[in-house]
Amino acid sequence: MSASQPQLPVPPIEKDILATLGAPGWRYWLMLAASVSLVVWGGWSFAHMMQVGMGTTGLNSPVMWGSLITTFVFFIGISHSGTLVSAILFFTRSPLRASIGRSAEAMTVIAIMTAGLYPIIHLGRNWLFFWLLPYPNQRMLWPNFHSPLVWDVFAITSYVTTSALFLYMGMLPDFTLLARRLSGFRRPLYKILSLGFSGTDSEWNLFERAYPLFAGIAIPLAVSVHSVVSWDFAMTIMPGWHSTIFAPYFVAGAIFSGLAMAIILLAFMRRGYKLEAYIRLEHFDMLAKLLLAMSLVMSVVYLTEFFLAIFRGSSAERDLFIWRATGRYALVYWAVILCNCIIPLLAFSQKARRSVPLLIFIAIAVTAGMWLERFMFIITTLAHNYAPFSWGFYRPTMAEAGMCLGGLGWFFMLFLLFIKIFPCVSVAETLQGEPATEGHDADGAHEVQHA
Amino acid sequence: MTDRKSMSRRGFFGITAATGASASLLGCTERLPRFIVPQVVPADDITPGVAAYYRTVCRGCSAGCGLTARVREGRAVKAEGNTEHPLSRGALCVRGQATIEELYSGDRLTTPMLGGKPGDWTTAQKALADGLNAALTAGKQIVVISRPESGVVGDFLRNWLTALGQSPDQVLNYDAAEPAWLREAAEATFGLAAQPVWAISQAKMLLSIGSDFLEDWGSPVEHARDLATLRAADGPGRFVYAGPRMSATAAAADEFLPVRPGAELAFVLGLLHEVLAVQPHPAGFDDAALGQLKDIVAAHDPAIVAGRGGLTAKAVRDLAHELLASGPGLVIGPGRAVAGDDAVTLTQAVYLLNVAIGAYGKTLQFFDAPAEPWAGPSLSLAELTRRAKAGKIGAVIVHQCNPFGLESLHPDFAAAIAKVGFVAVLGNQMDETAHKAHLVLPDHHFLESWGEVAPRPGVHGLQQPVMTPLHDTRAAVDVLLAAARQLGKTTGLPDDETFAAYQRNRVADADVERGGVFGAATPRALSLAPKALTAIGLTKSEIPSGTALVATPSLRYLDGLKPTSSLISEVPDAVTSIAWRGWVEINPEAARDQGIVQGDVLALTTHRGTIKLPAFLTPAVAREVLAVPLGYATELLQGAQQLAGRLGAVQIAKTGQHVALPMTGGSLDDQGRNLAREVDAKHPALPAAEPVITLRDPAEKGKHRWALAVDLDRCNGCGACVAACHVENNIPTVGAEQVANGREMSWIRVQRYFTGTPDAPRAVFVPSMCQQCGSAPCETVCPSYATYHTDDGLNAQVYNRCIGTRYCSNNCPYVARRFNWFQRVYPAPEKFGLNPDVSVRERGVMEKCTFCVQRIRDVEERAKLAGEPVKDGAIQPACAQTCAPQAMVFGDLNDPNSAVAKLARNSRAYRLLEELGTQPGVTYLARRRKDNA
Repeated sequence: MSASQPQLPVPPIEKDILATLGAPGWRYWLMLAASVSLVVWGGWSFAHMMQVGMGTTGLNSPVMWGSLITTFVFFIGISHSGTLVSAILFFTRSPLRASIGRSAEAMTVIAIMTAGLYPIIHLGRNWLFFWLLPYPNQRMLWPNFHSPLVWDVFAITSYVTTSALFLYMGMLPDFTLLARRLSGFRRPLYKILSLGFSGTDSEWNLFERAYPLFAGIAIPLAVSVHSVVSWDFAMTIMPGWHSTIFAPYFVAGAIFSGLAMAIILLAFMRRGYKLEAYIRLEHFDMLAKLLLAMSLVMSVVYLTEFFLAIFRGSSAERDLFIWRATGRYALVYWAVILCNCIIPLLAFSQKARRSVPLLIFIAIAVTAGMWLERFMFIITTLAHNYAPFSWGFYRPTMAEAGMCLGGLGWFFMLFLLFIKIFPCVSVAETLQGEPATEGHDADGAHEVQHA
Repeated sequence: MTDRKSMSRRGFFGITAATGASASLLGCTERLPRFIVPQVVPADDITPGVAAYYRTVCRGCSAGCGLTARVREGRAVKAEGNTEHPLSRGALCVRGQATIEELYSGDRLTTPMLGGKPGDWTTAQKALADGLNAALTAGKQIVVISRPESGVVGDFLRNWLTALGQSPDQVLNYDAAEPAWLREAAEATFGLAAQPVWAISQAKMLLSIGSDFLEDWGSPVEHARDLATLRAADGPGRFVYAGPRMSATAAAADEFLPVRPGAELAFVLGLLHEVLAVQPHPAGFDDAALGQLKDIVAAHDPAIVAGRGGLTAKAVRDLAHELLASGPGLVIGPGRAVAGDDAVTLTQAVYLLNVAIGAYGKTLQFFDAPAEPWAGPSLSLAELTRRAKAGKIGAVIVHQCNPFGLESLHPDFAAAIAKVGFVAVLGNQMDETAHKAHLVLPDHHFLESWGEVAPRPGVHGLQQPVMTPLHDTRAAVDVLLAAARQLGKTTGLPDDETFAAYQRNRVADADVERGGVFGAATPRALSLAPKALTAIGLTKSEIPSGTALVATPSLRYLDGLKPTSSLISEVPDAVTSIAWRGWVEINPEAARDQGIVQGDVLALTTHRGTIKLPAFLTPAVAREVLAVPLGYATELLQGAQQLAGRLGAVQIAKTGQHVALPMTGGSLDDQGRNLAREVDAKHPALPAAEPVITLRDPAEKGKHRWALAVDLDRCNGCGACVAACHVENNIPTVGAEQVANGREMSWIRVQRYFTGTPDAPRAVFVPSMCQQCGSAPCETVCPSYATYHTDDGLNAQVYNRCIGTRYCSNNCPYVARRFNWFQRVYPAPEKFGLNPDVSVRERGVMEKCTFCVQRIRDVEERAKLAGEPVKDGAIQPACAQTCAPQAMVFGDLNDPNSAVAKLARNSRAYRLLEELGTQPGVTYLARRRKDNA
């Protein structure tokens, strides 16, 4: 369709992307309403917890961390792929980046904005959360720099700052473009956001020099942030947590779950905004291959962990891993194996890789599997700890369901707002890539018509 | 207008100041304890922030232990054991610790109740006088039902009845928990209706016939200490428990012999048979009696007995030989769990066995003139019921007891009393009896009133008020005295204005300061009653086949009533770790056969009725035995007259319901992690622990390192430490639902770990609190320094810094930390019982054992003021202080001569999970297993 109107003054890509910023349809409103409802439910659950106490959760002694910390790690994981993938694609000059980079980066920032809620929600006295920050205070105390939680604060704030700047900077040329194309109240908004970028050669020159800098910082940060989050667990002495494999394991897991979430978001955006020409099946194919590779990495990690636990010589650790697979949480354990190790094997088939519904199924399985994986390893270690007399059991309550799903609603709500306010595919980059990918473009359009 | 002018600013302040000052003066005089003889600090010397200690007697049960009340600003805040008292020697049990909670309970009666409606004292006194007068006018009897009162109150009750023209024997000493079979058998065997005194500490070998003497009526605190003394001996000093269920007492034994319920008599007679075979002419029997005895036991050869009781003949023979060889031995029992219809006969057999092994007079003692409550003229329940039915009784005064609480036990009695025209209750709470009374007169709590408790000759405890009464209550004696005065019948009654003034003049200051008058008494010499042996000969012991049900006693519901105290309810049962509710214990194999899983509600039917309780799977009971806690099985005692626990054959049916048991324990055993360690008593040494390689500096640089040693050989799991910790540290109770959710707040947890095999289980109790690690995992992970290491080796917890990440708890391998899931609110009067030395924690913060840091600092500061070093043993955390068997020792590990440092070097010493490199400050001493040599 886009190929049939080459003479128009406005390039088709611009038109298509601008269309995504137009008045939303009923599907959009429905999804937004659903997301906001979840946020309201989560907010209500949180307010009630604030009023009554942490007792509204299912947490107890010994299981003092549960679904909320699970969701925190989950969203940190989701955040992972965005910036990392986008930065890697940028350096490898991959054509894939132009189409998925923006939404992946947005996903990162939004996921961190979601993840960041949970450690605060989860505090017993969350009205004092700022005590985690180093600032001169009446208590005459710094935070305890030995504590991995304090490392988390630094790692996550660095990551969110860099990711946000990376995202924002990539959007600068688009803001200029939008300020030119759009009228009404949005025009001054984009004008301000564009920070005066007008697309002169010298500006582009500076831009092209600065942009890789952010991309370069983002890659090691992405690795470090999830390593640091993993140290929340690995730095303890608890069986099942205290392990050097945790940092790479978390990074791999994060990329894995982030990819899955990226596939889901892209698939819906592609459908909703008719971006089949820009987000093409071969892009999905590539993502699926990456997902499959990460799934295999995760399988190796799981096997390694089990192997170490059995042969390390710590009876507590051995008992724990056997209990994970056979005890009261065995169902969760096997669900994790099914979702993360077995279902993604479907991606070995090219047909599956190029079937969007099937990919969505795999991605949803992986997303759920990764949430359950964090849930499983957090809960089981605490419930089946060193002191057998204190062994316990934990079951999340409706209040926790509200707060966890509220976070999911929050995530989708922000994402939906983002794609209505900001261009979700980089116009500038797509235009840059046009000549190089013209052939593919036609192929892609062709395929879509067949599909 | 003119008024406003006349009131100048100065004048206003003047008046305000004057009224304020007088109001506060009034407040002071109201709160200051008057008429009290203090132990250390004189009454007029009470200063804010400084505790005063008053000795009195605990009335939590009828044992009569000495109690020292810690009083702050005129309010008792902690019950501690009286160190001078011969029974308690500084210790208290769960019930004793809970008396403070009872004192400040919101359930206490604060005004008189007339016909179920609150009234004032003038009307109430008049109603009492009128009620009594009506009975007198009608020529009917006035009867007093009272908790056993010895000494001055007991005397007063009899004198009061005399003054009213009644017979002084119209007093019924009501104590539902008393094992009457022990007294009745003493009368049959020795011609003396008295309770025996078990001198456990003087025995070298102890056999308990199902007697849970550490957790039942009697003198559990004294027994716990004595048992520890007995077992502490290096050579002999063995304790064998023969009974249907491994209770906490049985777990404290060196050997547990499971005896099928109903086979106890055969078992005891089998022992007697073997004893007489080895020792054909024991002292104490004349020839005729001996001949008769031999005839009786002839049919009870151990070989035959063994087959019937589920024991081997060798076990019975060995036991008999051991009892004879290691004199003096002692056979205690029978306990409540094995007391059935043949309880008196069984007791007689036990007494005769004691005589045959030479225990009588040495370790089994009776006294010629036992003090109240068991001697003196008294009314029996049956006699009272008969008289009430006949309409001879016009008025009943119920004093500090709840005879209607166990209505099912004696239904006739309740029906008969319902016919009496006037029932007045003098008590503290609206219990079942108070609800049915015409008049309820609130009495002082025992910590607010005078009295005397003399549980046995030589022990005469004095009870004094430790604080001014909280509520508008009146001493029972004063109320009865006022009634007698209104009726103009005061002959022989005190002339003093109040009972307090009267008693204050009677007793010497020095005696009150000591807490009583204590001396020695000579036991009664042996003389067998003429028909001592007749009853036994006639009894045929029928051993039931099939599954038998036993009800087991506990200090938590001593008198068969469910506890009204939330503290007592919250302290879990030692063996099952269940709090707040009842359960039925079933062997895991039996449960598997019947498809029963933990928490399934079972309907248990005996010939007396049906009860429904959730199942708890435990190796503590054999396959053919089910055990229920007595307090939850009183429906099965319909018409039984006494609280005896052998309930007979039982039918089990599943109800299909399932509940989450409020239990604090997870795994039954320690999973081979060397948490509950045992050693052979002959070679009491553990292998040396492997050194832990660590990069962290292990040395404590401070002057002190406070540490605790816990001797598992002494601990019997009673839970007094748990209760003491609750009271001392203002730890809230959370209730059944939250315990089931795993949110109990107790800082100390008595871990019960089963050892041995499923067929021959043993249990070790490991009291577990914060281990105050030298290299603490909790400290490094806290982001806000809420927990940190002090110079003297403590893991301090600063509640104000805590933001509630709960990371510290996750990293604690001992799971010693507790989180405030909810805000606990303490309304008046509960809040007056809080310990002012310890912060009340807000919701959202973490808390844990501090080794009672407030006590450490108190002693340190006193020592500093005096310019002396802190003496070893001067600091006692609440848990160590109240521990009857003295299992816990606190002190400075940096002082090589301190008791705790010596214990830390003991060959039985080990630390929990020390391979993790935490360097715990708590040392455990492995439990010694004394096998029969």
